[in-house]
Amino acid sequence: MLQATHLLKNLALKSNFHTRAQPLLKASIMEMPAMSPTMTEGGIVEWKFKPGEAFSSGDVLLEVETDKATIDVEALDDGVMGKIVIDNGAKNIKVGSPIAVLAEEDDDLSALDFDAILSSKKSAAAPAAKETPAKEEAPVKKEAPAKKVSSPVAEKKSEPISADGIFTKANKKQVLYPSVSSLLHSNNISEAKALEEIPATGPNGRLLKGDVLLYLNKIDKNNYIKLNKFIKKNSVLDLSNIQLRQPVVTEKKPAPLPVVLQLEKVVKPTTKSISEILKELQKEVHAPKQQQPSVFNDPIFEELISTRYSEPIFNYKFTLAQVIKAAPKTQQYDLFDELIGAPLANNVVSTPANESNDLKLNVVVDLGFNPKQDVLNKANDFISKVNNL
Amino acid sequence: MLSSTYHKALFSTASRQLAKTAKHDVVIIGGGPGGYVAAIKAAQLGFNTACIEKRGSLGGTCLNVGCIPSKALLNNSHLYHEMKHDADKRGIVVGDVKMDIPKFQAAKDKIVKELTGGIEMLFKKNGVTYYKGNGSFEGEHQVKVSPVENGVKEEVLIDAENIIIATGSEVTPFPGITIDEERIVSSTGILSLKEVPKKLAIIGGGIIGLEMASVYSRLGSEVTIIEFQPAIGATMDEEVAKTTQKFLSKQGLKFKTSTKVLAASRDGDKVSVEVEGVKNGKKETLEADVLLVAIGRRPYVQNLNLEKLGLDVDKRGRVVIDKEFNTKYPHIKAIGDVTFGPMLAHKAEEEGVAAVEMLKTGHGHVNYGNIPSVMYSHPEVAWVGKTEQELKAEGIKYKVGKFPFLANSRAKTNMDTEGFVKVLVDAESERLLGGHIVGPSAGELIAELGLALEYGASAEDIARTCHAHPTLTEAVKEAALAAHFKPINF
Repeated sequence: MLQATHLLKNLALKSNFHTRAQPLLKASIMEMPAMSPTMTEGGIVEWKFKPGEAFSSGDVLLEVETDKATIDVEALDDGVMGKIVIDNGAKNIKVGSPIAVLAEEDDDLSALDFDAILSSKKSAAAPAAKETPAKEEAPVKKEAPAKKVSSPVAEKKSEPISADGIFTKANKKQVLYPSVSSLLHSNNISEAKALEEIPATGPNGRLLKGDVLLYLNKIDKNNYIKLNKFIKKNSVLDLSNIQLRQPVVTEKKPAPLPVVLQLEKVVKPTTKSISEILKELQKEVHAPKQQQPSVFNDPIFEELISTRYSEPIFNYKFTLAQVIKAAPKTQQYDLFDELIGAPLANNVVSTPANESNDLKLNVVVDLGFNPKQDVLNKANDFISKVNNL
Repeated sequence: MLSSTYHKALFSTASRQLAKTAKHDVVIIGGGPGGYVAAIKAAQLGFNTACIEKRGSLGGTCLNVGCIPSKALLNNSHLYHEMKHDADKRGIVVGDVKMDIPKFQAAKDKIVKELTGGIEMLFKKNGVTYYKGNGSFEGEHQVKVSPVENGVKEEVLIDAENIIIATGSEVTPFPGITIDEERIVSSTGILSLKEVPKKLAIIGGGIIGLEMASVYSRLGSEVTIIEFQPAIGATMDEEVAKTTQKFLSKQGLKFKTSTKVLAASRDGDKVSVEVEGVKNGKKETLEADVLLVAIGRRPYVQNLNLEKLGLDVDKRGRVVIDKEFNTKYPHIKAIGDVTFGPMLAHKAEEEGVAAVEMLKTGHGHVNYGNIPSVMYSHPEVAWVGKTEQELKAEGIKYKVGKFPFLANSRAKTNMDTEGFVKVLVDAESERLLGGHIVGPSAGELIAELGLALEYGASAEDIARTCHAHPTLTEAVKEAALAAHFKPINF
């Protein structure tokens, strides 16, 4: 097998490095990165961004010079160059000393107090200097398969969490995992005892390393329950908070009303029957318009394309009724008048309504729901002709 | 066919042909990876099973216009690229290496045809009745198969005791951009370009976009990837996504992240794409010969007539199910891309099997915490379980174990050493929580971490398991060792 440490060194010198400044207030301080495990100081060849310029992750922020090579330093996150503390061409800068202030993309640069940021860093860094050197600044360590424990997110000592449904009785027939048997062996616990006494969290009652560690009180029970709940939660599809698509509500339009033309008119009785007159009028409106023949108007052609009146394109209904004129109001006979000796008016009790010879014509043309303009025009024409009777 | 009761209606009047009718225990609508696997499993469990598919060939998006053809193009373009650029350093003298695009495409088509035909054979072997037609709901227990080209000749009405909806997904269109599958293409059209575009623009830096970027970049295209998000790689671990972007940039791919597409239009043989920086609002117009729109996929329920039964879909069009895959009717289930969860062929397969087992025994299981993802770029990227950013968000304390392929002997002998294996384990119990690999054969290597995850293994368990030497799998072992204690070879 290969001894790879020297390979890594080569890689380290060849490749680009990431650096992430430590978060501090909204802006953060960028420190002189260590480009190799042995590097203690270096020089700044050139800054690639001016203050106020935005950069994206992966952009080369600056070139750093070591005793061996010149190396690009890339940004790990997006941000804005706030202030350059150490300018181009500076040499012998100690690893870890501040070289720039980087701001978040939405920071207001004019509102940032760079001096305060830099001094707060100094005072904070001083007592902790022993713990923090080259923690984030040493990319070689970061790139290496270091065992790193994540910083817990504001962890509190909390109440014991219920362990419902997490532990089961260990399956007696299982073959122990290598980590489990080695842990049992080093703690002098027999396999039989372990299977009897240690509650299991693995699939089908399998004992896991964590189960044994918990039994030995080597890990925190709350954390372990929390972990198992997290794993359990993630093993099923999240079907909570489903937002249904509202079925497309097709607005129920009121059913379209049929187009009806109606005319009520009082007509004098004529020799011709009303029905005949209407029929003729209908014919008239159906007949092709008589126009002076011209280049634009060829009667034969018009005739050919016009609807034949033998097949009327609309129908009508009509009713006729005798017009009833209301009779003039007459005085009513009243016994009281007679008793007091008042003269009796006309001596009539009531008069019947006068019957006139006029007729009330009511024509209704029903054109259906969506008549063509041509049909509508002709029907209107017809109604106005009736109106002129 | 084993036992389908498929008969023509006996009475037919002179004027009116009655539809054919049939009866099945389980009817699966859709013959993709979810549907066909469910159909075979159902037949194997003794159900009288039918599968309805309208595409004309089985296998769904995956086999016809997805995973399979793209992998054929990826592998062959990779070989070409290796021969052209790497042969020399390996001491192989090759002549003038050239591409024959029609043959390159024909090789892919042959593979697709063989595989889809293979499923038809499996249907015959297992006694699944296959209806080539459009399936739609006629009633709670009735499914109608309507004729399609080269499919069933007349309507068939199927009486079904159980129905599984497995109709999959389709390409999500980009609002305002018309896909003509010639110059502006979807993931389907990009698979059968007749020539290599000089300039290829891709909207979407997800897996589909990056894989197709790899293919055409190897063949000589100048590829630009436009991604709205600040990072590529969709749900990848952030560190892995960054590393991958670096590797791909080195291969010549250009990335425009945090960039919004405003419009795109075709003018003759050119496509112009108007983009705007999300942060700086800077507008520019990109010219390309071909534009690939790869912004995602959406559930496909067209012509299924879900409305007939009032089956619910959510805002993104997914068929609403409960944890047993049931729609509001317990005998109608939905699996795969058409419903919730990641749109992956293997996820649909698992659900297909689980849904059918549920019909048989009342119990079926899919572990959604253990569904691997693979991107077949070079180096490949594969991951399973949780990412660092997910663990941080949940406040789970974890340890990281990493091992570079540069220190793996097999990778060295292959002269293919880019990338690393990274395992995430619980800080105290060392139970494996996530595995992330960028490197050679990552898609194959991830299976071991999936198995470990399924059985609740700790980093120590992986590290104590004997791995063959020299293999790439040793990198997985060493990463686990790094998380548990210290790696040997690094």
